[in-house]
Amino acid sequence: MAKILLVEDNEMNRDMLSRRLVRNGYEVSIAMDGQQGVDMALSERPDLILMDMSLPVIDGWEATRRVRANDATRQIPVIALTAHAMAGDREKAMEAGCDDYDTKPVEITRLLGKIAALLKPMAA
Amino acid sequence: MNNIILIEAIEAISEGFSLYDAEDKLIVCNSRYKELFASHADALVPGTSFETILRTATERGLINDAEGRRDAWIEERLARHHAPRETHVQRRSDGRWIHVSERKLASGGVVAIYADITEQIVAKNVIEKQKVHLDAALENISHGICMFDATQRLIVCNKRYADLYGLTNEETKPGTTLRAILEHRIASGQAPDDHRSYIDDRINEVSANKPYQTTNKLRDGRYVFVKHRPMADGGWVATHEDVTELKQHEAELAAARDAADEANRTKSSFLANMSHELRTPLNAIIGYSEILQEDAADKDDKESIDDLRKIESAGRHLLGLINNILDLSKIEAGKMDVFIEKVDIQALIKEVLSIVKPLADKSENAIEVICPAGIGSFRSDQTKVKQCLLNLMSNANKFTSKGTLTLTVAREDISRVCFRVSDTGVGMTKEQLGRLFQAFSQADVSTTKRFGGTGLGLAITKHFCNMLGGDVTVESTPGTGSTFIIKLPDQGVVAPAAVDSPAPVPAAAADGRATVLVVDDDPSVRSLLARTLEKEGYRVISAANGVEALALAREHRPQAITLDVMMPKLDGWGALKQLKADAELREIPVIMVTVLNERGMAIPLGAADFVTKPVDRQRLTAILREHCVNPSSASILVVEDNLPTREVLCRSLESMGYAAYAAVNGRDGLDWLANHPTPSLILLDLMMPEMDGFEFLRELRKQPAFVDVPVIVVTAKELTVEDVRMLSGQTDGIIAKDQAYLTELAAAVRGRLAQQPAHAAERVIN
Repeated sequence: MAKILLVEDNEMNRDMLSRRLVRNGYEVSIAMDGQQGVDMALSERPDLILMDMSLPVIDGWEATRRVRANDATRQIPVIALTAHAMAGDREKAMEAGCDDYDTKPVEITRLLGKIAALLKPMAA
Repeated sequence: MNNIILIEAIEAISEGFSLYDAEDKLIVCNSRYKELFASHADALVPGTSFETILRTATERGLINDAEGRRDAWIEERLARHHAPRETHVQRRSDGRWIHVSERKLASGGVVAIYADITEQIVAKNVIEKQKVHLDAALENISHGICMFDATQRLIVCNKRYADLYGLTNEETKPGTTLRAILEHRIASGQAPDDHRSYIDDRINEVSANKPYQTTNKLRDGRYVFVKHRPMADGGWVATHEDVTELKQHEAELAAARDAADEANRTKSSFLANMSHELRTPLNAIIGYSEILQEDAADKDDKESIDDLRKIESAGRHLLGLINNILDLSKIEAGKMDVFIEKVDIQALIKEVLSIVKPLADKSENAIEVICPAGIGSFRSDQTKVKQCLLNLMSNANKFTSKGTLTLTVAREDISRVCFRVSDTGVGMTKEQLGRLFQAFSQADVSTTKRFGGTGLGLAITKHFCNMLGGDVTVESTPGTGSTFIIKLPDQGVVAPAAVDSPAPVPAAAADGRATVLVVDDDPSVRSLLARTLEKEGYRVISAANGVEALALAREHRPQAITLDVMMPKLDGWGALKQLKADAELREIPVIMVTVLNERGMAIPLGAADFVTKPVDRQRLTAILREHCVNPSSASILVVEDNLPTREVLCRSLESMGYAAYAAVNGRDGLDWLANHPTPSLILLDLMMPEMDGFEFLRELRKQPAFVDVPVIVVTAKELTVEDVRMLSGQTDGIIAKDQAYLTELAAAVRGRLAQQPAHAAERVIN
């Protein structure tokens, strides 16, 4: 079962998303701010990170950059969750090192597709 | 001595000459003397007494000074004549001034010499009058003014100057030295500082004999603007202006501007916060109702699913409204950004359809799509185009039932794309059409009642189209249907299809573009990567294996290398090791093109990053930029006062691979130029506050450093023939801000930069 680290500060978003991920067969661990996200990426070595971009302590862009900067966590795929598809945010996410992005509110089928696409080569 | 010779000599004297003997009788006089007594030269007979001559002169009214007091005057004159001491001047009745010089001789006689100094007197009067005029003028000037001669002595100054520095009349006497004046100023505290060096500094400054201007702050807090100009004779003139009030106004203005900026920032963050605050609870409503629907589906609870669907639908509807309102607020606050990127048209249409189809099915509308297969892509803001199309399609769907919605896409010409959304719905009257694109006004109130909606979507669509350099228009027939037409420019010159020839050995890029070495054994991958990178503005060289790669890297020193892992001869890892081992090549960032399994190896071996095949253009570009490999070292300064335009221009330039910098008006542009390396090109708006484009150009070309900087004017102003003439000599192009100007501009910028001499390549990339 693939492990997903969800980094999201909003309680309801966390709840909604983790429940639906679990329902779809993933193991989910939670981080509530950017720093915790970076730390847990290191300690848990998840198969994928869902990173909300607006986070306390350090934001999603910085957290992604740090995950990318650390050799131990560099190869973990990161999907950025940005609000309302603001184009600038999208580009910023990619530049910070995200592999893909999705917009909030999350359309679960679309997000699941993106997760599967990034995790697929792992199966090989 | 011969009398005749003497007489001749006396005649030659240019003044009037007369000689009297000891009895005061005339011995001899010359013609000039007689001329001066013109009217009564007959009295000047040798032997006549001086007194008689005087009486004759006065009786005939010759001497002005004698008028009304003849006897007194004669007495005075005789006294002077008999005991001459100083010279004197007579005023004649004909207006002439005669200078009289007499000398008593040892023999007892008197020599009297008369010179006509009328001209000198007149000249003196003229000078006096001019001085009076000058003084009046100087005193009337509101600035302090002072004039010094070549020996640094004061010639003249006005009262204002003295008052400005608290100097007395005595201290500003003509002839006072500059040093003395400066010392007085220091003593009275009216100088910037009281170090001895101040005086010497000022004297050196002045001795340099060059014009200058400066603003001094005096110890009492006043500001004085001094403008110094040397004069041809070695002296100089300087004006001193009290600009304290001006400075204060400047400070107030700066404070006001800071306050405005602060308010602006507050507004931005308010919009951002409001956005977040409003959407978060709605997302919860929508999200949880979805989850509950899934739970209900598991339990087969159809009733609950129905109710939950309504909650979800209401939530989404509300979210749509909020998004529209926030978008409109953002647009009106001037905070809506444009983000230009490559838009795959067919993919976009597919996305739009997937969202609209369910809605259309519900209204029993059929959807028809007409889109040529090879339509390709264009450069614009994908999110906004999608939003516009969704708006038009959902509107079409809203006003049609059991009809057909048609979406047609076509290229207008090489640089424009046209989207048409037609429906077979209720249509609109001319009156309704008129109100259409205004926010908050749907066609009319009854429409709202019948069809719902807020009328915001179209207003936003129109704004977006305009921001992207295009427009939306509508045609409609009541009862038959409507057609909305969006026309958008392609905001990037699409390079003509690259010919698939084998990569020739390239010459060094003199145009400043960064070079990327693409290494892959598969020729189709090589050419694909090459095309992708070239479109981004990079120059590409390629190698088919590790050995070739090393050779080319050594020869060309590219700014980055993409390295395929699986290759014959020397595989990617081997090549990477060798690249990192070579002192001269070690610093070049290498991007491995690999499969995920091998991610762990890349970084420890020294790769800068990696991408997976098929290579995602966005990711590769992002990585290249991250490692400071920008396609072009060309930097462009955009001088434009309008914020949205400025941002569109900068974004366009950046998406073409240039570094773009911005200035908000001519003065700001000049300041920027003074503090940064010279850009490769300047885009110049004409109508700007503070300093417009024309003045900026004038000031720019005055400076030798900027005489050759290419300038392209981008303006909405209707140019007169005069304007064009004035600009043509000084600029490299004039682009009018009409509908599709961004494409034309891109071509002009690329064209002009391609002509750039090699100095652009000297800039260090890193």
